[in-house]
This record gives sequence, C-alpha cells and structure tokens, in this order.
Amino acid sequence: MSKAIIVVSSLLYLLLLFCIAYYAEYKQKQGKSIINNAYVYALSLGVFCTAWTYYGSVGRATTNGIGFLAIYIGPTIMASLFFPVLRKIIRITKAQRINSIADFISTRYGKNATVASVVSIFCVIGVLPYIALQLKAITISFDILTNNMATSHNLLSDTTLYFTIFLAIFIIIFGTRSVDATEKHEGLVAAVAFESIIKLIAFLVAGVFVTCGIFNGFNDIFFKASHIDEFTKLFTMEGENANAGWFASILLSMVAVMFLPRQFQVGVIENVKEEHLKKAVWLFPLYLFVINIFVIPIAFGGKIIFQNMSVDADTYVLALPLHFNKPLLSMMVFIGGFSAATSMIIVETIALSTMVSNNLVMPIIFSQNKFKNTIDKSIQDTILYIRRFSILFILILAYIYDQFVAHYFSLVSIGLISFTGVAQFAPAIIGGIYWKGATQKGALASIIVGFAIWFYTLIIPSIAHAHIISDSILNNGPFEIFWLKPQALFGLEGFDSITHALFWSMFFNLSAYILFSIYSKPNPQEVYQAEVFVDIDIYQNPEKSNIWRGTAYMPDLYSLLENFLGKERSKNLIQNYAHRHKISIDMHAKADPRIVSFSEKILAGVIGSSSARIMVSSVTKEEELSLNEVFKILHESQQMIELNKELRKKSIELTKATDLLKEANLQLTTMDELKDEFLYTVTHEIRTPLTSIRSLAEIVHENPNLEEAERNKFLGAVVKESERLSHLITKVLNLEKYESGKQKLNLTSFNFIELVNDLYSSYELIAKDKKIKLSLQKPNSMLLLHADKDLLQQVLVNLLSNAIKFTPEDKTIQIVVSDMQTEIQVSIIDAGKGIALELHELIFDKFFQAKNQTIKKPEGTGLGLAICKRIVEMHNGKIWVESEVEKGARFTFTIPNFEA
Amino acid sequence: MINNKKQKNITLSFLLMLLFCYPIFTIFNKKTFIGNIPILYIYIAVSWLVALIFLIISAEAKPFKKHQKNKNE
Amino acid sequence: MNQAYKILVVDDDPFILMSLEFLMRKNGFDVMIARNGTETLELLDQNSPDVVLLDIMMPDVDGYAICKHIKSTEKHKLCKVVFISAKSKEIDIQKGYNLGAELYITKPFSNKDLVNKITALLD
Repeated sequence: MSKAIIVVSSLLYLLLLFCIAYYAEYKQKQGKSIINNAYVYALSLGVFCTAWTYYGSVGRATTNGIGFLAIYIGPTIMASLFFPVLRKIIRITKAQRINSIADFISTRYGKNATVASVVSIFCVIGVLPYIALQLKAITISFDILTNNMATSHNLLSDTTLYFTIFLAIFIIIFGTRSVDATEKHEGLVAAVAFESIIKLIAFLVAGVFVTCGIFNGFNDIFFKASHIDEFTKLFTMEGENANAGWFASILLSMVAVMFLPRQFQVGVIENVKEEHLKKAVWLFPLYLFVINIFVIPIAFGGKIIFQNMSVDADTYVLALPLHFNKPLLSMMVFIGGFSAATSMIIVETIALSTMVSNNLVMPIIFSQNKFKNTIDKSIQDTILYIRRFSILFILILAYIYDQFVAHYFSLVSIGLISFTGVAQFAPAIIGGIYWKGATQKGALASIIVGFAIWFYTLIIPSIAHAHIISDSILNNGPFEIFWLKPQALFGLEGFDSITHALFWSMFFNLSAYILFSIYSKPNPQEVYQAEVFVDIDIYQNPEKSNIWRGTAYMPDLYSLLENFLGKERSKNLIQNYAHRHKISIDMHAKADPRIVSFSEKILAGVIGSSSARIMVSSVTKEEELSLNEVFKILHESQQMIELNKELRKKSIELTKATDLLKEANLQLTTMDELKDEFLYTVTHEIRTPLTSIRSLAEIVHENPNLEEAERNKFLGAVVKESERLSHLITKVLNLEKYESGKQKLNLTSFNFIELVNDLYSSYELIAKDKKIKLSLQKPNSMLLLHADKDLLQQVLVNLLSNAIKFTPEDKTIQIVVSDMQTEIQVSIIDAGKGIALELHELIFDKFFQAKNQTIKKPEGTGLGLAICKRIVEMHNGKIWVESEVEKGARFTFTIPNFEA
Repeated sequence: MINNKKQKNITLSFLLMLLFCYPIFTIFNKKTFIGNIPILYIYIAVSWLVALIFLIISAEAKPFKKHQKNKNE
Repeated sequence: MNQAYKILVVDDDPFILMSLEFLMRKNGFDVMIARNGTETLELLDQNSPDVVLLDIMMPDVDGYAICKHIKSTEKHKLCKVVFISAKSKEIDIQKGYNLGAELYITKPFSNKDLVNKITALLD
C-alpha cells in the first residue's frame, strides 16, 4: 500500500480526534459536558489496552498460550475493589485537589517535595520505555503496511517523528488549557474514550475475519492447531512455577490498573462523578473480556498460516488481512492499532508532564531566590509553558529511546517491567489510605528500596543482555557474589524474571515501609494528612478543619493567588469560601487561617501541593504546630461533625416523639369522649326506668280512687322497672369490677356438664313459654373444670337470655358443648336477626353501646356481652361470634382446661 | 451498611482470586479438550463471564444508594 | 280549662308511655300514643294534634327529626312540640329549642310540673 494513503488516513484520523476533542470542550462550555457520563468514564479506562494489547498479546499468546490473559484478569478482579479502594482515592483526590499520582503520595506524606520529586522521576523512568513501545508499534505497523523492509530510518523521512510531533501538538492544545491541573481535560478524555471504541471495533473485525473468514470458527482453528507440534505446549500452562508466574501477573495488573500514571489520570483525576464507578465496575472488565476474545484465534491462526514464514507474531493481526489481500481491512486494523498507541501516549504524556512540571521543574524555578522576589503576572504563562515544554520533552525522550535505545532491549517484557515499576508505589498508596501510622520516611524508604530492587532485577539484566555492560553479572553476580545475581537473588531460582523481581522488590519494599514507618516520628503535617486521608469519610471536606497557624496578610495572599489564577478567579474563589464559612475578610488586614489553608489548596491544584506549600510559606509567617495541637484541632473538628450528626438524629427523634405524643393525645381525648358518652348513656339508661317509676308512683299516690286493675298495673310496672334499674346498676358495677381488676376468680373444680344441664333445664321452660325449641349437645362423660362456677354461669345466662330474647317463635336455639382436650368450647346458636360483619368485634365492646345509641342496636348488645368477654378472658379463654345478617348468630367461648 | 458493602467487596475479590489461581486453576490445567478447545481456555472464559456477572450484581445492588444517603447526612 | 286538646305522646319505653297517657287523659286531653317515628308520622298526618310530647332517643327516627318535620310542615304549623328526654346536656336542650320546640322537659320529671307547663303553653 502506498505510503501516502496511509499517512493521509492517519492524519485524517488524528484530525477526527481533534474534532472530537474540540466538540467535547465546546459542549462543556455550554454546560453539557459529554464526559460527565458513566459510559465515557468506563471507556476511558480502556486506555489500559495499548498497542501492547493490540499487537503484543498475540505475540505472547504464540509463545505462552493463555498466560497473557492474566494482565486482563487482574483488573477484572480489581474492579470488585473499585468501591472501597478506588472510590476512597477519588474522594481524597477531589477533596485535596490532587492532580497527579506523585501529588497524591506527596500530599499524603506531609506535602513533602522530596517525595513528590522522587515519585515523579521514577514514574518517568518506569513509563518512558512503555511510551516508546507505542511509538515502535506505530513504526512497525506502518512499515508492514507499506511493505517497507528498511530497518533504519532517515530522521527526516521518519513518519513516526511526524506523528510524534503531531501528537505533541494535540496534547499541548487540549492538555494545557488551564493553569489549574485539576480541571478536567474534556477534549482529551472524549478523544480517549472514542479511541477505546475504535480499537475495540477494529480488533473485533480483524478477529471475526480470521476466525470466520480464514478459518471456520473457533473449533477449526484449534483443530488445525492441534496438528502442529509447537502448539501442544500452549494448551496448558507449562513450566515450573507457571502458577507463580500467572499469579504474579494477576497481582501486577491489579496494581497497575490503578497506579499506572495514565490509569490514575483517567480513573481518578479525570473522574467527574463518583457514581460513574458503578458502571465502570463491570463495564471495564467487560471491555477487557471482549477485546481479548479473538487474541488466541488470531495468534493460532497466524501461526498456522505463517508457520513456514518468518513473520513476527506480534504483527499477525495486521499481517493476516494483508496476506489475504484485504487492503481496507488492513487499513482498519492499522488505524485500530494506531488509536491504541495514540491513546496511551496522550494520557501517559499528560500525566507525566504534570508531574514533571509541578514537581521537578517548578520547585527548582521557584526556589531561585530572584524568582521568589519578583512574582509577577506572567507566572500563569510561565507555568503553562513549563507544562508544554514537559510534554514535548517527554515525547522527544520517548522518541529517542525508541530510535536508539529500544532495540537493545527485549520489547516484549517492557510492559511488564513498567507494571513492576509502578507496583512499587502500591504499598505507599494503599498503606497511606488505610494505615495512619505510615510516615513520610516509611514511604520514601519503601519507594526508593522498591525501585532499587526493581532496577537491579529487571533493568540491569536488560542492559546486560544488550551487552552494554558485561553479562558476567548475570551469571556470576556482581563482584562474583553469587547470591546477588540479579535474576536469582538470594538463590531464588526457577521463576521468570518478572515474578522474581516482583517478589523481591515487594518484599523489601514492604519491609522498608513498615520498619521505617514504625521507627520514625511523623511531623504534624503528616499526622494531619494521615487523619484526613484515612478518615476521608469523616472529614469529607477538610476545609472544615484547619491546622494552619501564623500570620498572613490578605494583600499578600491575594497577589500570590492572582499571579497563578488571575485576578477575577482568585477573588471569586476566596470570597465564595469566606461566604460559605462566614468569615469576614478585611482586604487589608490579617488573613483568617482558614483562608490561608484554602489558598494553599487552590494553589496545589495548579502547581502541586509541595510547591504550593513553598509558595504560601514564602508570603506568610507560619507557626509550627505541635503534634498535640494538631490532634486537638482534628479532635475538635471530628467532634463537630459528630455533634452535627447527633443533632440531626435528635431532631428526627424529636419529631417522631412529637408525632407519637399527638397520637396518644388524640387517643386519650377520644377515650375521654367515649368515657363521657358511656357514662352519659348509662345515666340515660338509669334515668329511663327512674322516670316511669317516679311518674307511675306519683300517679298512684295522687289518685287514691284509681281502679284496682289499673293501680295494680301501675304498681306492677313500678316493681318491674325497679328491678330493671337494680339489674342495670349491678351490671355496671360488675363491669367496673372487672375493668378495675377488683373481680377475683373464685376457682373451684366442678363438673361443667352439670352446670350446663342445670341451666338447660331452667331455660327449657322459659323457651317453651316463648314457643322456642332448645337443644343441647354435649359430650357423654363429665367435664372437670377448674374455674369460677358463678361467673361461668353468668356467661351462659347472658348468652342464653340474649338468644331467647331475639329468637322468633318456632325456631331453635342450640347449645353445643365440646371437649377440645386443652380447652372446652361452648357455642350458643340462635336464629335471630344476625349481626353484620363489621360489628362482630364491636359488640363485645362496652363502649359500643354508648357510641351507637342512636342507631339500631343489633341483637345481643348490652353490657352483658362486655361482661361475658371480661369473664372469659379472665379465665384465659376466648369469645367470639360468627354471624351474618338474617342468618342468626353463633356465639362461642373457650375456657382452657388444665387437666393434671 | 457501609461496612457490609466493604466486606462483600473484599469477599468477592478473594473469591475471584481463588477462582483464577492455584489450586482451582491447576485442576483445569490439563490436556483435555472440549470440542477441540483446551479445557483451560474454556474454564478461564467461563470464570471470567461468571466474574462479570458477580460484578454487575455487586455494582447494581441498591446499597450504593444508601451509602450515598449516609454520605450526605 | 282545656277544651279537649289533642295530644300525641311519643316514647319508645312502654311504661313511660303508660304513665304519660294516663296523666294526660286524666287532665282532659284527647290522647294518642306512638312508640316510634313511623307511628308518630302516621298519627300526625291523620289527626293533626295540638301538642306533641316527644321523646328524643328512639330506635328508628329521633325526636329532633320529627320536630323538624313538624315545624317545617305547613299543615302542622300550629302544633306545639314538647321534648321529654333524658338528654340533659345544655347543647341537647339548646338544639331542641333551636329546632323550634316550645318546651323541653328533662326526665325524670314531676307529673304536676309537666301538666302545669303544658297547660300554660296552651293557654
């Protein structure tokens, strides 16, 4: 394919990236940010898959079988820890306005500049080869496409150089928009997410082509593969300690997916909303899964096709479509690989350049005395230029590395070497967010020791392999010290170099971390930061607690901020803060300590926390806080937060209590009313017979000449009504007795059947008088019951009288007695008017009568039923009615029967 | 609720680790085939999908919202 | 004295009814008795009494409703309503008067008192 076509297509693609980036920024200015989206976030994490994934995985698969997959399984496992770990890191980052991984570590350990610079340098050392790898991939893929066999390149005709420059311009434009490095790089993230899609699609298409176009599906490939000898060893993981290697790779990738500078950039710093993590937890692993589906088929397929040709396995994904004359597909694959490489370069460069400019370049510049005294307006521009320069610097370094140094080293393992390098930060970071006892010295020791071992066990061997230094060091150890062999330290043999390096570096790293932390004392700043990091959920917003003490003047502070952030912006920021926290600012007087802390934080977003520290202390006079004071302040703010929570809880409880009170009050008032009504009704019930008694008696008294018959009638009525009155009063008194608990049960053992029989005989006559039939059903034997005989009799009498009262002529009343072992059950069934369902419970209520005096009273109501209920319940029994209107009623009660 | 979620997460990651590492791994690291595909490959693919399902469940579970509420109190 | 005024006595208690009937007859009234609202309305329409002695708490229709009916019917405009009830709360009495009753007597009552009051009403 002609060079021109490829170049033009690539340029067009880059232009497309430009447009997407511009569009994203344009949208963001309108307020409709497109990166504020969980899917975009998850896709941006896909920058983990670089040209190494695209080309290198296939290569590794041909030599190692499925071992390459460990790199992607690790992140999948890590995703399950996104919530606890990554979210915590994101929270801390946002709260402290952290803008890089070096900044994170340095902030945690007391905002120390040394830590920041050490981490930055190591990041550059560890990651630069990785960037170079991408450039190499572009070069190689380009060469294959153009069928260029030349192995050396003239500098000026090297297309890769031009690509690099183009990329540098892209990154500079979209990566250095604002001085504040914590601002989101809308355009970049959008472009990266887009590239994740492109490389995925391209790879999938290539995969489908190979699997279904060249071969006949997965099975076919494996079938053909099994016929080739070399393959058989690939079907399983061979080699001693293959497990260890696999495990080590998983661990490595778990760490790398969070702490590679590019991953930290997109995963933490560019994160817009915490909630996006929710989708990322499964979307990202899914992405990894899908992009790897066709790696094996392509690898095996390529090997089958090219078994007798010398085609580099790394390039199969491109070589295959070319071999089968599919120019369009090849182009697509190339673009896919191109996008994989460029996305990595973009993000990694931004991350590295931020670190380099903030932690390496700026501190040096700012500590120049002459500079400190002449802080002026152009600082913002200076900072931006430093950033841009760093970007260029890194890219040029990568290019040089690629061109001149890289081919001395085996590229295949560069990725893993980078991973191992970045893993050295893991103890400091993870320890930093969970262990308050970790100190600055511990972190420094950890990182330096870790990196030293890393360098010794991984970089030295590479250099030795390339014969830059003698390789006797590999075989005999340095200065002939056997147990210091770089690839078999302390005699640990049999592991691949990565596993070996990982083990030893982590071993020494962690030991140094723990030992140095335990044996060193942290300064107040460290203690404070430790608290605020580990307990981020409590402190959430560290603005609330302030540990700065000293003298500072507003004008100084203002001018400092203005230089970096511009007049307008710094004024707004400070005034908003003051307004939020109700601090009054006097523009010409001393600054409130909280404002000073805040300013430092804002500045940290621009130049990194360590530089910010330096700047702020240059315009203020700080007093050293003792450890005790720090603790006191932290404690106070913690208490405040606790208090707040308590207050809120109490107020909720108060509301609840008030509601309950209102309810209870309502109940009481209702009860009161009901009681009044009850009394009222009872007195009415008393007054009625009294009225007739009085009136009739008066009549008899005033009319001595009354006819005998009439006089008898009247006097008879008086007697009757007096009785009625008496009964009523007794009933009420009885009820009162039950209600107030004065009624005592007089328990005797008696034969219940006898009681029933007696009552039956008495009521038989009464019933016959009224032409009602009375039937009795009872068990044959006797029923010994331990209860109050009189009270039970009263219950039976009440129920029977009610039944008789309301059963019409020629109907039957049934009495049914049953022995239910643990209790006796008595039912009285009448043929009266029945009781509506909604009244079934109410009729036993003594209040019921009172409430519904004016409505038609259903049969059987009266205090009698209330008394029955009390008696039955005093015996621990139950009483209820089953009835329907017009269908009679069945009253049943049970009395527990405790036979010995 | 927060701790519960944390514990769940950590347990999940441990389980996943177990799934992908020694010794379960070695069970499948043999030269047997399903169709023509080595069993190891199939095991990894299936486990990965299973892991994905667990991740989806764990992420889309309601407790996250509750945690949000706690955070805002 | 009374020139055979027609009086309708309404109460659901048979004994009170008995005594009131005797009392009124003894004092020269032409007495009709009713035990519930339905009977009351029937007798009202048929006989147009001059006075109605009304109990309030009755099973089907309460005395208030009957009073209201009487006072709003053209035909019974001249009929006087006397409440006789055990309901003795101020609001009950007031309600009775608000509905247009001429008299409200509480139970239990003195026979003499009752007769005097009713007679005075009709003079």
